[in-house]
Amino acid sequence: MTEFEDNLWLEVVREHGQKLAGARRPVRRHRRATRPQLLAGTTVGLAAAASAAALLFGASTSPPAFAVTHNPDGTVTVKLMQPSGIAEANEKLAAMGVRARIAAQTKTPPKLVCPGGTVPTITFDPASIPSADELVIAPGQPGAGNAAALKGGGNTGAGATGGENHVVRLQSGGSKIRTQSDPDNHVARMYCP
Amino acid sequence: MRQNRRGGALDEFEEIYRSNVGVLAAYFARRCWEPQEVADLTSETIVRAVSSFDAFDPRRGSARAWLFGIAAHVWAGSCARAADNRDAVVRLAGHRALDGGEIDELAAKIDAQQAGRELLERCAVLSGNERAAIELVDLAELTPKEAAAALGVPRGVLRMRLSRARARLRKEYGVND
Repeated sequence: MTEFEDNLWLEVVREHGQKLAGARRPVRRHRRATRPQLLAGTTVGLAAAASAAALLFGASTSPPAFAVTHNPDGTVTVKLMQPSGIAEANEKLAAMGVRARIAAQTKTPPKLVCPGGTVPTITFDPASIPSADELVIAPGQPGAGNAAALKGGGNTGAGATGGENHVVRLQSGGSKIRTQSDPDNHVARMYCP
Repeated sequence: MRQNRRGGALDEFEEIYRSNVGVLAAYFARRCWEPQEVADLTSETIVRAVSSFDAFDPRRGSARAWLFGIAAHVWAGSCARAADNRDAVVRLAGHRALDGGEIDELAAKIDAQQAGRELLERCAVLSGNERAAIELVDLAELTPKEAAAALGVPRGVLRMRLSRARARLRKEYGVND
């Protein structure tokens, strides 16, 4: 990839990432999963197809474990409903070119539900994350006591130099939450809206 | 940080983008002399692809064929604007000012397409349909099936245009297949 191609991709993700992430796509695996049944007609083929169908059915009826959305003002909102969504949420953040990730923790509660049925949420401005840093997001609710675990885990920001554990602190900045580089190991917490 | 990523429309589009943006830029580099114009037309093609990604079904044709179909429309629109003398004032979707490094890269790409540009000039003796078939298959390296999809014609028609065009080029210039 040339510099032009890389920059154009970043522009696409920044301007259209949310739209792309929500695009309706044909289910590509369905046809492949049923092909063994069509070609071979064996018991194994039928079983494989049935398993694939069950997986597809399960996936389509399970509640979403996370949501990552680009907002019109350039901020990104991350919602985490289940700890199982952490990996995929991080993948989506990476795909969107956002230098932020949710830290997987042993103390993460099995269900992330806020009072009133809402889910832990954080909104931040990716542009305010220093280029050498990475925003680390604690998945717990306020007061869940996960900061100590994160500190102890040594969450080094991507691209940080000098071997320092270097994440970013969130600061209120109008309607957006701004990030600021900080030598201490502060993390951003999700909150209950 | 991008390892171990799975699924998702954004991932799918990124794969398509990375596999095809180079050949799309080359397609416009054969037509334009200005790096900024190559960048704008490539960007416009990608932005239009984003807008119609919902409708793209890879089971019905390749991503490259789909993108070249869009690129052909983008180029036709650019020509129409130029003919109307509107190009100077119309800012295309996806316009982004280039920095020095990007200008150098695209200028090099334009230079690299010199041979392709010469072939396109020789193709002036062909009809527009034949020229498009030759370019997509012989320069952009689409398969005949992909080229047919990009041009919206049956494969048999595409093969006929290719055959006719190559025969005429051989006759006129002695150009090999």
